[in-house]
Amino acid sequence: MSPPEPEPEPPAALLVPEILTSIAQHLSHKDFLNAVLVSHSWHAHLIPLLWHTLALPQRWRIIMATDKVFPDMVVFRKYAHLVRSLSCNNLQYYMDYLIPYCAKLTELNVIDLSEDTLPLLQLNTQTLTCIKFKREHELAKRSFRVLEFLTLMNDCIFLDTLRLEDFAVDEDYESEDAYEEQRRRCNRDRKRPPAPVAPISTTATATISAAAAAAATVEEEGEEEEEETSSSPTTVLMSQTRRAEEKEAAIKLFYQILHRVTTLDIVRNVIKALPPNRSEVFYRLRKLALLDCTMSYMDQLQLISQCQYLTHLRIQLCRYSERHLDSEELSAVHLDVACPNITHLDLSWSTLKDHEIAALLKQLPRLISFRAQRTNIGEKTMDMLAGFSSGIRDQLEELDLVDAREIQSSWIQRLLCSCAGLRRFRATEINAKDIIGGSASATAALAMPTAADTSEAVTTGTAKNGSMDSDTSPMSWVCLQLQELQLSITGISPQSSLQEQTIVYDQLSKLTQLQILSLGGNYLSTWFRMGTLELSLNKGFDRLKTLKELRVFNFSYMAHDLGMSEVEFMMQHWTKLRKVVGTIGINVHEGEAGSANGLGTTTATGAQKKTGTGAGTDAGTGGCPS
Amino acid sequence: MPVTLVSLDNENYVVDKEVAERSILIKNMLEDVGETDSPIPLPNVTSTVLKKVIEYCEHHRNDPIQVPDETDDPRKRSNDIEEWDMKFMQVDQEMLFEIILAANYLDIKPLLDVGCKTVANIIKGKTPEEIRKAFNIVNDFTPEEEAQIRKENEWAEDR
Repeated sequence: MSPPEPEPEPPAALLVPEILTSIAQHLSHKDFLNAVLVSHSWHAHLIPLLWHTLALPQRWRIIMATDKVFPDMVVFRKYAHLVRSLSCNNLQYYMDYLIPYCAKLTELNVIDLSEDTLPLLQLNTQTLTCIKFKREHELAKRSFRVLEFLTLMNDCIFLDTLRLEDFAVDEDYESEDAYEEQRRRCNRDRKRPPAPVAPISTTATATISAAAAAAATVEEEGEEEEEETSSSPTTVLMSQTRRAEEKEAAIKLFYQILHRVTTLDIVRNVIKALPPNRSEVFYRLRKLALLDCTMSYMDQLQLISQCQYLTHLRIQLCRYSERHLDSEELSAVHLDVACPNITHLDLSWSTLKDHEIAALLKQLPRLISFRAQRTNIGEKTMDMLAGFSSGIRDQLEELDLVDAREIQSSWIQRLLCSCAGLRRFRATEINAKDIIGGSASATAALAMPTAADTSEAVTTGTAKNGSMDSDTSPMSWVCLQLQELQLSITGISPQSSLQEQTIVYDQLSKLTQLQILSLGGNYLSTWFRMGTLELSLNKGFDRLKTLKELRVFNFSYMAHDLGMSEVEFMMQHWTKLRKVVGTIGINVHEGEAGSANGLGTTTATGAQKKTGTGAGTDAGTGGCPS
Repeated sequence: MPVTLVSLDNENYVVDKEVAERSILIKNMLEDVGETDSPIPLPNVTSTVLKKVIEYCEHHRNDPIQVPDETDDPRKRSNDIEEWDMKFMQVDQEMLFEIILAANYLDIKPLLDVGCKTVANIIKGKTPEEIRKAFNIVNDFTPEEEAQIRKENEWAEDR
């Protein structure tokens, strides 16, 4: 198809497909749909982008919607081959849309996994690189054709990323009866005509790997026997043996697949058994997440130690699931994890003890990111993070200690004063006294002025702080590369608040690389409203004009609302600001929500004027639902 | 060590190696050839455009190497333009597309991105007919075809 030759020619750049698609990537959805209508060649080059990522809408949305939310079948079939990434539920309703048209998927995400997914999986084994399967938690105890799934997944030669939730590879089903009932139902399903399903189960068994072959044969025989079901003891025994073999085959297949992937997430009930061979090493695995797993505590650690080349580990070890072990026994567990390459560790919501976390950190010399929300951070862990002998103190780039259970405000100050390489820091709360105390001792001999003349105190305080910049005193913040800071500063007392606040604002103003600043609390912790910073220019807020890189500012759930002059200040000095979260107290309006919306638009237009780009969909997320 | 770049119209430009290496094409070329004094011919770039490109590379000489955007959805990219880049891109449309072509040829990803974002901003809010007019594109759709495509994309309208 050669483009026609108009008199003034279109720019040559627009005839280069890569450039055209690259432009289209930056269009809003509405503009994109207009661009598609420009010409045949634009349509041909742009339409694949529209179909690349597709989330099938919930069934109820299609039924309830007044507008069209889903293409009709003819259109879908015409373009389905362009879909690369598909997310879906209620798959059974879409069978006629998807099969056999949707055959070049690289990513498949199913959130209510059932046997209906098998044909789609079969269709895409040659292209899939990423599979995310979630079974409904309530169904995890019911049997399903896990072996067939695993066999097909094992056929996905390019599989790289795998996430399984409640996939129940080796579940012992609730009761014999329920299991048998389920099986019979499955068999009926299998014999039923739905065209794509029937051939698949045979192909699946045909292509079944050597590992599962034995089990599969047994399965076939079993089925035949089941036709003339009788509950004779031999049959029960047979089915028990068969199930045991199936389970063994499933475990074997699961770990065979693990040899292929680099990223694996397993959530809740996926597998309980360890790899058959304990000295087996999963060489390719780099990122592993074990979240709330039913696998025992010790076994999870054993599995990790077989993944020696991990760089990212996320593990949520919950003791309450370990009822059979008393806590004394557990405290003796050595977290002997031999994965020296780990750079990112996430222990959030684990019930590990302080010394166990510390012991774990000790073995990770390359750590740069440590997330530990809601964990038991204590002095031993603190020493590992910020102590003088800490090997990782200067290399840590990310710390997330939000809602850590016993963390003290002074420790947060210590972290900010010790970890010079930090880029992202998130914690719940720090008392302003710790910051002020820090600055005060940093300004060494000069005691905190307590005099009534606050303005003088402010100026001297500033001067002192300024002179301290070059000093390497451990008590002022050293993390000057910080790009993200989430921390509620509390404990500002009404009496001397001006000078206290100025010192705090001064400290913040040195973080000139900040892109995200979140001083607000979250909706769970509205009590942080007490004694937070006052967001007004004459209380020191104006010092934050140095934060030229700021893109996101969150001040929700703070005691003090933002006034109009502060909004103007933000627009003038924070030219890159794109998102503001919080409540604005503009005098004109009484209602909080209304005024917050007011800011939303103001900020958006401000950004537009400055950068000429749309402020984006997320500009001006205002208001707090308290 | 300086590198000499030669434009289509035989103009020579001497720039620092680190500036020249903002272009992946030149970077790879220099790596293949090794230490060399011989000028690098860029037969696809005119001197006016090359001057502009060099200005960009000079300004961004110390930028960290851009990490490829890892979002899977090719349509969810940010549309922010830095202030300096904004001003840099305030040129006539012909020049804008020349810069984009040169950035594509020389493989300077950040410059290509800025250029594409600028074009995206031109397209913003325009009807198909206005887009065609802006870029001298001839409508080769029949009214029926256009209606058909509109219908096909109905479902996507408020995604």
